[in-house]
Amino acid sequence: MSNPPRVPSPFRPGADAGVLLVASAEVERDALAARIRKTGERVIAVVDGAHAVRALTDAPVPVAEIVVSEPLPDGRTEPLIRYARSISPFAGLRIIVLAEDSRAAHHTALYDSGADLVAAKPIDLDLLSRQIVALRRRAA
Amino acid sequence: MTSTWRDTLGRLARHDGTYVLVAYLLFLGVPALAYVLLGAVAPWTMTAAHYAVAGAYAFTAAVMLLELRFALRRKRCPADPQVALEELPLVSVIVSAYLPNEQHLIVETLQHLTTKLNAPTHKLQIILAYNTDRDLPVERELRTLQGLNASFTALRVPGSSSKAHNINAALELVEGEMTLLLDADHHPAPDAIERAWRWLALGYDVVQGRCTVRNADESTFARYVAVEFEQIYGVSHTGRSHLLDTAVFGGTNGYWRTSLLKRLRVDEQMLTEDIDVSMRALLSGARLVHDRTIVSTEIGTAMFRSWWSQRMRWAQGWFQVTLRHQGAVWASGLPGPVRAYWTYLLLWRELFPLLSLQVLALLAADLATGHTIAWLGDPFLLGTTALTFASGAAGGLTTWRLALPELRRRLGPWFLVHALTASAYTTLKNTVCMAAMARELAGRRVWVVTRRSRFTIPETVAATT
Repeated sequence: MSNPPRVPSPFRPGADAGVLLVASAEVERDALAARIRKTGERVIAVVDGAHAVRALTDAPVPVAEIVVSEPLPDGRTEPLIRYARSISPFAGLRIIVLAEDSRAAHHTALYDSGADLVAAKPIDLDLLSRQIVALRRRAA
Repeated sequence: MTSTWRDTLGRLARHDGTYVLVAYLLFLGVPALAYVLLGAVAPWTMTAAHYAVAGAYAFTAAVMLLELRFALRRKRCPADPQVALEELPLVSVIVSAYLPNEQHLIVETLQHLTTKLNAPTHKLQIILAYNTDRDLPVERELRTLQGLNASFTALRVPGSSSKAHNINAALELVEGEMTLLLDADHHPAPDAIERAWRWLALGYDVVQGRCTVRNADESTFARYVAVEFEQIYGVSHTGRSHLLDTAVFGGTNGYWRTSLLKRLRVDEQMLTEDIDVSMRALLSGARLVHDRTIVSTEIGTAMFRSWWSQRMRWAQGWFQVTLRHQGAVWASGLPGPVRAYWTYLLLWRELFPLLSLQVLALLAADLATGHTIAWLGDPFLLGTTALTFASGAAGGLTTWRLALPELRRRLGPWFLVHALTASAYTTLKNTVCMAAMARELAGRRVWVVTRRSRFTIPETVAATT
């Protein structure tokens, strides 16, 4: 089965697309979702990699950006990123990982698998918002 | 036998009803007897006592009317209303919580603080200082939040049994130039921090914001308390701030210059550590202001029982503060009108419940001795009575006028109910004040943590200071 043809990212004001947020802890999911909504984006929040994979195809709006907050329950952030890259129709799909592990080797592995930005937790929530906006502008 | 007596006394000492009874016996029964005896010897003393009590009511009413008059003024912060957010200094927020009681609302509060305030997160340091007598599931959530958010710290304070302990522990971590003190149920408005900073930038040291009740729909009692809060924060605090440029920190939604707060710290021995630290700030030359446009919502007491224990603690705390600071106020270098006004807020606040009760004592003595007084034919008594009732009506009207529009719309008729029942409600609060005095004099300082709402878990954990 071949991948679908790539189309430009829908990330521009008023575009009908959303941010897929993957975070296992509810309190974290709520905090991040509220932050992302402040940037004006729709948020599809899921608890783990399996739900994220499903959301990539079944979400009510196309996923144009993914924010993964580690650790995922199955610990497999890299396969998720690779899978998202392989099936997303958007050439401009942006992936941000909030890493719990601050070691450089871990960050390198995440970049190698296709992440656009890796930030070690704890993070500055405003900075995350700004980075989302900046990535979106670049993708558009 | 002795131990049985001691046990009985001990049991009685644990009930607030005992202190109410003692207070009424001391401040109603004993004076009534004294008036009867005095009236038998010198009947003119009964008339003089009536005049004195009527004068006390009139004085209180006059000060109330003065506050109302000044509360109607629209004093705004003279600083530029457009504070650029990047010009804000680092602001620390200390949220203090007793977690078993507040575990179900703390995460919501933290989410509010991290997502709703206009201040940039790199200008915010949020510290949750809490105590708990056992490990709680919510602590895992707090650790998760701390792991995510660089500006948030969850601080469990070992050995703490009060808000004051928690605040003092958090002060060790505070780095901001301004510190906001909040209770666990408070949700400040998005612009609260900018507005408060404008006052500090002008040279003020403490800014007290407006606390308003957000669960007014929960019960009849909550509606009543919501209206009362509009009166306290929209009218009384504002009136005194406009009148004499003085204010009191009410324990939450208060913005402090950190250097001052670190110097004073809060006194863990006081039941109302907020009023105590306000007094110490005032006496050290600090400037305090109340700004009713700095709004924060809270969960008001929705049940009489919670209200009773909360007000008992407040009343006893104010009494402690009066005993500790009244002399210092007189001896201070504060301007004369400010000293006089603080005497009204401290000493007169304690005396008035006793004086107001003398109406009943005198009427009882009149009945017992057959002494009569031509109330309707006496211009002084008629005038003071009219002034007292007029102040109540004016208070109700002013509260309605100055209430937050949303509450005015939701609670419209309750403003009328509050105004009509003000005398009975004041009598109830006076009863609490007198019982609190009796408690303090008896050395009983155990209090019950206020249950926020009918929907919070029914914790009634007693703590001591």
